[in-house]
Amino acid sequence: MTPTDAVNEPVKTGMNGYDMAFVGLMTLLMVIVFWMTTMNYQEGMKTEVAKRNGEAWAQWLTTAGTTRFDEGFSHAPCSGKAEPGTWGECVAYIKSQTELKSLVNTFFDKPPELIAACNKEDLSTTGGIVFDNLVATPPGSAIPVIVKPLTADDLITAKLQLRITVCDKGGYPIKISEFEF
Amino acid sequence: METHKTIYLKDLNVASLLGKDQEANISKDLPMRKWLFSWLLDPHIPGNMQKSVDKWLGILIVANLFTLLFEHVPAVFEPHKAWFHWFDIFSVAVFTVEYLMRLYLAPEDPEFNKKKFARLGFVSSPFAIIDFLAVAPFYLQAFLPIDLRVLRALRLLRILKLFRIVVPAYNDFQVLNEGRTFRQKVHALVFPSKFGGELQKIFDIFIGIWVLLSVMAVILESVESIHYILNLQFVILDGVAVGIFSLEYFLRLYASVEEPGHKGAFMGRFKQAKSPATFIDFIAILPFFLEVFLHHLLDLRFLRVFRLSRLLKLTRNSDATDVLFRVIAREWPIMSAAAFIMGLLLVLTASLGYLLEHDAQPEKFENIPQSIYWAVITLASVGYGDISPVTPLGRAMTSVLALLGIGIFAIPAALLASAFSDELIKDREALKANLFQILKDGKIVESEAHYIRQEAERMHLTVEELNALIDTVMKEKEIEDNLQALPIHTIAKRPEHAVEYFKTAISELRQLGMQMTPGEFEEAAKTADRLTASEMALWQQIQGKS
Repeated sequence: MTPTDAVNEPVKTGMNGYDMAFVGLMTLLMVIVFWMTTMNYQEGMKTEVAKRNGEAWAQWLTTAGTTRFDEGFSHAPCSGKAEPGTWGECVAYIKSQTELKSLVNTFFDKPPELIAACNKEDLSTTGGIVFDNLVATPPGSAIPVIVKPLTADDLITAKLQLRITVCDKGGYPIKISEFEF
Repeated sequence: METHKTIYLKDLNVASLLGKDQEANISKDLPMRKWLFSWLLDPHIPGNMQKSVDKWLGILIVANLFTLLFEHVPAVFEPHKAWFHWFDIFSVAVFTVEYLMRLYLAPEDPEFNKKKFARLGFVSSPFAIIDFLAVAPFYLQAFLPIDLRVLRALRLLRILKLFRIVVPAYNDFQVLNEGRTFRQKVHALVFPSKFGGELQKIFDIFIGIWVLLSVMAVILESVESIHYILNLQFVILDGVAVGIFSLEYFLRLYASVEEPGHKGAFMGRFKQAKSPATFIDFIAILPFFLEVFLHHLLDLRFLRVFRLSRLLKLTRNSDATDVLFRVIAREWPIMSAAAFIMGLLLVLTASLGYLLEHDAQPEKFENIPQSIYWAVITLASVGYGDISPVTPLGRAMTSVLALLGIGIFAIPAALLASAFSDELIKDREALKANLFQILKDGKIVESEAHYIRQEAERMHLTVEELNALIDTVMKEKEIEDNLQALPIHTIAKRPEHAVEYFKTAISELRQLGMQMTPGEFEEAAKTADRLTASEMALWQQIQGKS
């Protein structure tokens, strides 16, 4: 080959083997990122379902809260005049007799647990629902309300100010709403 | 595309050289249609409104994309339905006017005016079809019942209008990179070079938009009420952002071997990988992968805040960070001395605070490490007041230390400010020296004009400032030309000429120093004792090193 031939040799501007390998790797990377985003999205969907569960509970209790002291309230264990009228009985009734019985905690594919508090050290609380009783303090107090977990033995024969929280996949609380029951 | 024109000094117009003579040269006597086309759509007339029209249409298209996304979020869409509706009407009105304008002006467009029916040619062109599809569904829904989801999907076609900006840039890029390899093309796309053209700028803007979007998302995620509503949207946005930034990161690594000083498939890329800008790129994508892979082992939620480091990606396009690092490196010996004194004073203050106050306030001055917090707050003149001395001796010491603190803490700030100013002067001196060389032959060729434009942009020089600089250089050059023609003994007869001759000689020596690698001159002088100590001291002084 003469020097002139070398100069006149066409420049290879197409993709060589390395370029193709790079493009292949980039495609693989994009597939991995897409797969990871899909995984994150699915996890996010589970959190969304947990939030919908919390909202459904809040909706049901808010609606019930407006009429539960009336005569003929159809959900007797949750009535303000029930005997002995505990939160535990009301919850058992709601979980077995109302439309809320079909709710699912998609993190574990079972009905959502009612728990005392979210705990990032204990991931079994993921997707759980927390009810807090907001007790107003006397006027002039430094703290306007005291927050305490609602336990099964707490009485529901008086109006309650409740806060509902659900636990996300890391065991962190997501506040749903505060309402009167 | 680069034009190879030469500017002679007698015709030099700095505003024109910098491309800031915005007044387009369009005759008012042109027929209405031609005049409108020249002002609004002709890409070949510098200073007309074509770029502005494209830019605002581009912004409107991107805004349409975002409204379309938010329409899928009921919590955002439902309360602001009316606003979304009016924005859609506004967008359609603008796009319709644009379409009709292009249709009306088609006979003036070189792309269609050679056809028998120019407007028909326009209507059947791919861009016009996209433009039509962008607005047609809006009008169709008035006559036909169209499903809302279909309507929204069709509105997504508006994004295709961006092709009107991207395609010409891509074509220019292809021309600029003709005969270049795939890797060189990738390099031209991701690194600033003369082969990048408009497409490289679009790439930078695209990355910049995604940086801002993802940082905004990180900030908004911390707002509980917003995170509650947009949780899934944030997940998708982060995924897309990481996809884009990962692609950018690997494209940069792959093409970095084309950068000067990055030879070698492994070492070149390694050098690129450990550069601050590329390291920032890596930090920007790392939290996503770590969180996905390790979330079941560790709670890595705290890593999300590192996504804010994506904001640092924007510094790639700015010279300011480089200047800052350069200034810190230059002033490091003095700054480290100031830092050492600060540290010493801090430990002494904390120890004395502990010694004098511990007995009186054992809960606040419990030990020396705890007292350091108080010492920093006092020396930095912040003075929160949560911890304060109560003993007379403690108060007396605090008064003295607070005064000392003002001086000591001000040293690094003053050093930096002065070093910044020096750096600026140095840059301007370098430009002046180069201008001297450029103007020597009485003309400015395109590559020299490109250099002047680049430097003026980098140093944020206005037309007036560059004009003044060129004037100074030309005057100095004139004097130098006059003096060089004269023998030394004639110059010596006129003290003012002698002074100018001396200035010119010093300036030339300075230029000589700037053209050489640092230390090269000193080494050559030392090897064979070529210079005496006083000559070397004079050289150092002229170079501003003593």
